[in-house]
Amino acid sequence: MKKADIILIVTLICVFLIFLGLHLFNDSKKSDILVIQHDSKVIYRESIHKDNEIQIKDRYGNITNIVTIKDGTAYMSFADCANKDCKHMGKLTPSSKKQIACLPNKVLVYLISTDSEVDGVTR
Amino acid sequence: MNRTKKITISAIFAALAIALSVAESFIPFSAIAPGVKLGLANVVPLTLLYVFGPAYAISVQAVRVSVAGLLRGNIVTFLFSFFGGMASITICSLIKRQKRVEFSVIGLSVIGAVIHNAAQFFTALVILKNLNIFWYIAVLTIFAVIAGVLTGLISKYTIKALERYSNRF
Repeated sequence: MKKADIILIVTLICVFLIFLGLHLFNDSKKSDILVIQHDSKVIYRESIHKDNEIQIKDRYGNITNIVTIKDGTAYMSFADCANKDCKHMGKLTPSSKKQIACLPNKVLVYLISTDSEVDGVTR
Repeated sequence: MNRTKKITISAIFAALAIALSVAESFIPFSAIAPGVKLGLANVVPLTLLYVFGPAYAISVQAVRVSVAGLLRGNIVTFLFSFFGGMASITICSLIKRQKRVEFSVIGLSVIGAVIHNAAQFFTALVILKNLNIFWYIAVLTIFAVIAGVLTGLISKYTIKALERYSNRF
């Protein structure tokens, strides 16, 4: 290993650890509006405390994903893709700072806070 | 070594890279964090970059991402593999060519892994059109650095062995 290698590795790790830390420790308001986005369109937008089961269908009408909302948590209960990453992403709760994404089917599940009237982040 | 031999060996390497890509998809790295991978198949183009030069490395990578991308997943996952793989090897070739900052194989492997991830991540941003997931690049990059060091070590020893072998021709 050369000096340049070590500088590179240390810089990358430090910068991105700080970035991750800022994200995780940044206080944010509780977000309890669950938004499901499919193919860049919002298809569902309701309180996470309302139990529901949302089926996401592709344009041929086959069910590609199922999002289950139960007891204030939301998770992907079914996905037809090969790697099932979205099912490994666990459950969303009002205080969690993550999203559930299923890239092969272009599905994204995330939370926004109650008082944001317009969804400022989705473009 | 003449050109025919180089092309033949590159073809064997392309097959090896495809096999490694497929084999790796059976290891559930996604249990650590979704999207995390070791990237064993990236050892092949990186090794070729040192042994035969950028033209062979980029061609083998193009074959690898096209075939492996079509073998598993759909068009969306194919786009990820394609942009990630091609961006990674092209930038590695360019960095190896400049002489101002010299990296070893391990440094270059880390750069390759990070670029691979970043390109895939930006493809994901374009497909999902949502910036809420932007923070996740931090998780991916940290794991990419670790994976890059590991595959860099493998490449280092492979290059050594191959250079000894190619001297016999």
